[in-house]
Amino acid sequence: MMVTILWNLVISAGLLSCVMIAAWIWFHFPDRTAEDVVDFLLPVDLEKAETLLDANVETHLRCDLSRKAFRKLQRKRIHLYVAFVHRMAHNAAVLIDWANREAESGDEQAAMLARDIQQIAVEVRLYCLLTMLKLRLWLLIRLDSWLVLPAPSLYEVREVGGILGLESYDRLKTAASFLFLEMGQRNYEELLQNL
Amino acid sequence: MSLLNFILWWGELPLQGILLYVLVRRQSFRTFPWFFAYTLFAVLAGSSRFLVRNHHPIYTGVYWTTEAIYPLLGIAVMYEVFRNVFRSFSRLWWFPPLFPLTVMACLGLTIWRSLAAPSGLERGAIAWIVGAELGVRLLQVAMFALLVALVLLLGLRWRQQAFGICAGYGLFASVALLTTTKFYEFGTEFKFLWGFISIIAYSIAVLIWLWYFSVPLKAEAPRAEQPPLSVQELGRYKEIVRRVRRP
Repeated sequence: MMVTILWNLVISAGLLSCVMIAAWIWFHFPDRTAEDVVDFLLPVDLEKAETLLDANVETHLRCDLSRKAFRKLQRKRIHLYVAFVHRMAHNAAVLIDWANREAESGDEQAAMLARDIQQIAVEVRLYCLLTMLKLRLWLLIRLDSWLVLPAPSLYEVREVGGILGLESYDRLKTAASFLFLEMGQRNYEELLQNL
Repeated sequence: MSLLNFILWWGELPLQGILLYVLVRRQSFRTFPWFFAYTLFAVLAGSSRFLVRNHHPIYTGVYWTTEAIYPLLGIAVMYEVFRNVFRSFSRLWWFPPLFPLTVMACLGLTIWRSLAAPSGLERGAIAWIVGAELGVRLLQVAMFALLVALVLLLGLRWRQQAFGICAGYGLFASVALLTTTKFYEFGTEFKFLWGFISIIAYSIAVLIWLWYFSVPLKAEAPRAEQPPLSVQELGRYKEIVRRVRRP
């Protein structure tokens, strides 16, 4: 019985994948150029995100606030970091799209940078996916409200799956801005503001 | 054998021949040596079967001998795709055991299913060959589903040849597994239909491969398996960006 379910599940996954990839190709944003990047980005305040993941800041908050107040605040901080991660994931997806195009065309230097962006952006997406799963699980089971357990620490999500999230995003930002310069784009200040 | 049957049965052979020609012309054997070996073997095996098609005992021997080699090549191609697509993850600790674990899981599931629901159609070596084929099909479907998930979730590039190879195998393997399962359920009642669907699916898979390998891709300079943008490079880029921002 179990083996039949598993077997049919794999076959269904294969057939569903065929449909999903066809739909994805059909509805996907076509041919993203450097002009189609800035307007699609969502700004991420990296300094604020850094503060959220700072172990010292968290320790101070734990000491300064009552147990209940800290747990309430921590829930809000988790929500805020979820919002940042969501934006990072979105921006990485936009940059991957653009890099995918530039990796296949343009000059050699631009193509090389585009391939770097592809790799870093995939890393960032993976970090965002894993972090999102972890944080959503914390929020789902309301880990912050279980007084018998220690309140969840945001510092734990600084590195997930062997990937340092904010550092990778910073590398992505730098590589993207450099490719923007390489492509001769004038509005790269806007790019830096929006990333 | 009717003309329709003849075309359906042997029609994929010229397509495989064209694919082999394209692979040689684009020198794809440098990037995907195992896929090239698979295609070369498919052409040779198909031609051998075609030549002896009217001599039943010889045909049976040639068929099962060549069929025994396909699963081995199938696993090698999947490993090639896996390494090619996930180059940038190779330095993550949890990554290297993923492929062998998936292979073992797929083979385990196939053995488990064979024990739970024996078909009764195969004996001895043929049973092993059919079992290995099913296991590799399962692996191909699992790998395809994984890559599609990564395209959707991580934004992995779908217009890369490794994805094309996997998409072709994934489509064919999904249909082949479905038809095999239905064949066990319904018996020989729809034998022609299942065979027809499988052959069409394989032809579509070859067309997918042809499309991916016909489109010229920009040659990618070989890179060391290390994270992109070293500390020095990053520092240099940041400095340049800073200077441009504040002239």
